[in-house]
Amino acid sequence: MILLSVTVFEDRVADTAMPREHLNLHGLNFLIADSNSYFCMICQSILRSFGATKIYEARSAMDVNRTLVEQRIDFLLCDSNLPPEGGLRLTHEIRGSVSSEYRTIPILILTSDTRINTINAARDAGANMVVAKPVSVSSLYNRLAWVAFHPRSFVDAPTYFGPDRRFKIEGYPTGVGRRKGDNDESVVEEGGQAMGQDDIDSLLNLARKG
Amino acid sequence: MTNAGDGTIIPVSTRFHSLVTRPGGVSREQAIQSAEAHLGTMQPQFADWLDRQLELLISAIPSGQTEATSEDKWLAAAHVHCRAMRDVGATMGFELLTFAANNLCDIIDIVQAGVDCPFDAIENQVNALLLARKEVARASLTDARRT
Repeated sequence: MILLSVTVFEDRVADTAMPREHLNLHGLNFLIADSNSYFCMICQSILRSFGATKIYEARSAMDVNRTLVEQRIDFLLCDSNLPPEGGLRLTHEIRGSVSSEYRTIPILILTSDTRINTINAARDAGANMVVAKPVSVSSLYNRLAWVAFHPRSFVDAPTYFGPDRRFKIEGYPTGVGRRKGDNDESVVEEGGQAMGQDDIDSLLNLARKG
Repeated sequence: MTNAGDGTIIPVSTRFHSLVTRPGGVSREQAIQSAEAHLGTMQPQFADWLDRQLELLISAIPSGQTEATSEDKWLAAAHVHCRAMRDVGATMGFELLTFAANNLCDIIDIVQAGVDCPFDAIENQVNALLLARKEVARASLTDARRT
């Protein structure tokens, strides 16, 4: 019985952890900023499979600035090592440009350096989200969905302009979790008719036999 | 607009947020399946790209300590190709490639930070990359036979 309750519980958690909504990227303008042209090509291919139709590339911060002037970009994916001074610096500049229409553009930082200092630096520069390189198809989709379906207000402070950094995963839907204020796991109620021990044993025996 | 301490909280609505939630679009399952299938079709081209990157990496690394190449120069050149391989290897399904390239990037980082260049360790990682290259070649060959 305990085994089944835990399985149901895990399914419920998995359902809420994975965004299930459809993303409609058609007609949105994406800009991928990375000095590695092959990486850009792979990213383009993934985004096109997600339904994106207009994707631009930039190899440097100067290219990004030029593209932002020439096109109407809706979403920026930026490498943390973008030449010449890095993607975090560029993000900081975009957020700091008071008169720019791009001041609130969603920015996803791509980085192979996943140390906490780098993640914090990306957050403090004003990035909406960070994705570890090499990217996986599902992680890129999940991050895009997160930015799309969980929009955050911006904070305008003397030392920071960017998405509100005070956000957290709110825990499991029923309030069950490991935090002090969360409910105990035992509150999960049984659903449906209970199976007897014999039924469970026969299922396990079948599974063992293959 | 509300005040929170020293900062002002501004609700933001961008074109991305208003268009991405329109009806229609692609479901998560469809999007992921389609992207993975598409990456699969890129494997033969990936093998060619990898060959070129390995060639450039190997030619950037001096064959011994006696060569008079400026250390900063070759390290920077090797780092570019190494990073490029690390950043795409696992995305294309080749974890060993990313693993070996990442190790080499770490070695280059410490040499750039002032540690004596461990040429033996570099050679080992290059050999691991060559091994990963064989895996890519096998995969693209299998893929070509299937199609």
